[in-house]
Amino acid sequence: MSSPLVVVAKGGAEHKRWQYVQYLYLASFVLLVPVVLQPFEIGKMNRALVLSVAILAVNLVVGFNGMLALGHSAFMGVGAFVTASLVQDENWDFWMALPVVVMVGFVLGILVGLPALRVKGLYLALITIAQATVFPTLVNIDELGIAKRTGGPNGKGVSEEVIAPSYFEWLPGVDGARGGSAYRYWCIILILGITLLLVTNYIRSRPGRAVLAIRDNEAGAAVYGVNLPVVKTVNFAISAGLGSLAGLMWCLDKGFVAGQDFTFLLAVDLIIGLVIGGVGTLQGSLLGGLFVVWVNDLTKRITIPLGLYTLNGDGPLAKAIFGLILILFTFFAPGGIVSLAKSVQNKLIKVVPIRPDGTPAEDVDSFDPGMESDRAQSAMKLAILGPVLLTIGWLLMNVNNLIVGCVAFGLRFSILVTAPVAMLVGSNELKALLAGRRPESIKAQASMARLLGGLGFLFVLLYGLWLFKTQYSSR
Amino acid sequence: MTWNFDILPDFVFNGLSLGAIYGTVALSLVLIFKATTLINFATGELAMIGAFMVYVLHMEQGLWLWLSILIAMIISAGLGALIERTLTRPFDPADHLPVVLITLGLFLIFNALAGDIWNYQVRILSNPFGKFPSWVPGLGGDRFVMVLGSRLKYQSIGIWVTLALALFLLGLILNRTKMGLAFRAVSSNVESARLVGVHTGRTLGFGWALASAFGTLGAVLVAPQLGGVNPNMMATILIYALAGAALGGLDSMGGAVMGGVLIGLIQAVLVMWLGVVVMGQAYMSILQLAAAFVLILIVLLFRPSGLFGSRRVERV
Repeated sequence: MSSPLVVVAKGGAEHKRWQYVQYLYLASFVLLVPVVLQPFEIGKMNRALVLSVAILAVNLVVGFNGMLALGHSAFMGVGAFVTASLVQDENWDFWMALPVVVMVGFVLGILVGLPALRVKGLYLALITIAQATVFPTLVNIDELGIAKRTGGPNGKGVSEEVIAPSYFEWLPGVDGARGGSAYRYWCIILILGITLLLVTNYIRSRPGRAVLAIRDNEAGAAVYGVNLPVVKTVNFAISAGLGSLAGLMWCLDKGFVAGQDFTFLLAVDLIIGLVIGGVGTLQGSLLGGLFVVWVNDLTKRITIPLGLYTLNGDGPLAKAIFGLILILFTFFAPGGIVSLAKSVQNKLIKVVPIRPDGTPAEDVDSFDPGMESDRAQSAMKLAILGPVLLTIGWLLMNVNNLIVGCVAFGLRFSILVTAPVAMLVGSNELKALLAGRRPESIKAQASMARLLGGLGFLFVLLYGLWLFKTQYSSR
Repeated sequence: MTWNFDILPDFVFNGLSLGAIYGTVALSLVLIFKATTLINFATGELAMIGAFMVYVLHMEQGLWLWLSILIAMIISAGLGALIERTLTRPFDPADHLPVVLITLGLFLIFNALAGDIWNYQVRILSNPFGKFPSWVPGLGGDRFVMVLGSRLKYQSIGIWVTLALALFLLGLILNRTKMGLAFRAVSSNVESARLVGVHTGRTLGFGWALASAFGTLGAVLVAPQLGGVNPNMMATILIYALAGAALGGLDSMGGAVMGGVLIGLIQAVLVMWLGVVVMGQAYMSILQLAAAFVLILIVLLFRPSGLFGSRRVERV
């Protein structure tokens, strides 16, 4: 598969079809999580999504503006404590607290950002690491009523339960045993979705472009009239506000905040999520949050016997594994999971961008191998591979071993990609055959690929629907 | 309450000995910064591993304390050179993110491995300077000597003498050996040094080795003050050392030591003023750390290259 299986023009009908598949998967993921997972697993998913927002905040500064700010755990902490204090002491609603928390984070970001952004590179990393280290100790100060507000070393609980109001009980998963965590999940998804939308638009706006320009060439940006201090500080403040928002979500999710939750280690977790997801990409922030929480969950189950010592994953070892993963990613995949996924995607589907006048930037037809095409064959292989892997994965599920379990999990999900791709390529080749650009001999393979891929895709959709239906109605 | 100047020398002595330790760790940071222009955030954890090596050699295997310290320093020097060769050399130091990530990853690995092997309890490490040795006239066996009406601990004197000796040795190595000359050449200009035939890679490794050895020395000296060794022992020390290095200038070795000592003094006087005069003891560890943070911020704001550092000119 040296050349991509399908070449589509950006915005063309085929590209749109591929995007619909992606949207469908995303939507079904969002919908299935609260009905299929166990309540404690939904809780972990909530934590992952909260971390995603925090990582998005770090990404705004590190990924998009190229400033090494590593101390966002402190902003998260501020957001969480302000929320806890407002909700618990002042009897505010979480939704009322939200704008206040974001504003507090924003103002704090300006206060820290103004001096911090005058320094560059490693010096900024130094300051922000100090900031992350100092924060948990500040919470315990007795003066000015700080400890009373934050609960000091004991932490502060929020006694107000987040319960779905009666007019939201139709939301998937909200009614029934997992109600609490599922409703919190929907709250978090809502905030996350709006945040993502706003950040996407911000990055594409004029100030957002200025932020990117500063990352790419600071002096050049200044020459083009970008006001460096203002743009940097505002960007840092927005990021701090987002960090505080993540703190609010943390408080909403856990109902308890303590200084020990917002240490330097949390800041490092955010950086790890950022790097492993993909620096400077929005999808990377989401993936990073999921990665940090779920891989941490996996590493907890590992034990390594080493003669005299036994390294136990349910302790500090998980952190060591994270450190190792961080170093490995820095060496071998500096672009993170997003770049790995892109390189796989590029092998399957190539999207050619469109010029302003509406023609593709590269001639789509020039990618067409013509009579020599072996795409139909590859598509058929993919179409067969999907169900085979699915079966193998299903059989391996019965083996009680952590690594085999992970592999089986991955194998079962491979059909999500192979089926629609095989279908798409198969129908594409048949179209080319009709146009006379393929020999008659590929007809059987192509229709086979289309049929098998279509069946596989149908199976995936029906299975998801069935899963949703049974779980949704079985409440 | 007013100032009580009788107890001032107590705090000054204490601050000077703490400051000497911060200076040692700051020196470790600066040596690496001069060699490879990166801040090694794993400095503290490397030093902690060194202190644990001393713990294993001295407390568990029963070696003579100073011999174990020497062995630990040599081993951690090797470890530092190994890290430089395998993990940081492939990256361009001008691109800060990867090297910061590498050192953060090392930080996690060392901290967690030490925690897994030795768990997080504080383990007692014998104090190299507990009591005056018997050959000191009139003081043999005492823990301190009265100076200016205050107790000057033997520990403080020991730390100062050790640091002075180590600095003297470092000076000798850097100014009188070929490797030291190469190191100074590389830290002033890598490209020119390479052009005149200096083996830059080996020299950078040498810088890391020196730095790791110094860090280990600092960790061993600070252990008695913390009650012993534990995997998190260097967390706050590193922040003070960073503050010291930033204060003195990240590329000035004398500045690092001065900065560290200054931080120690400021911390001690702050303890006295805020802790005893204004608030009472309980809040001190909190405010000290915050003060170090504010100090870093102020220094970098008004003198980004520190008190003794050289200003870097940036070309586009």
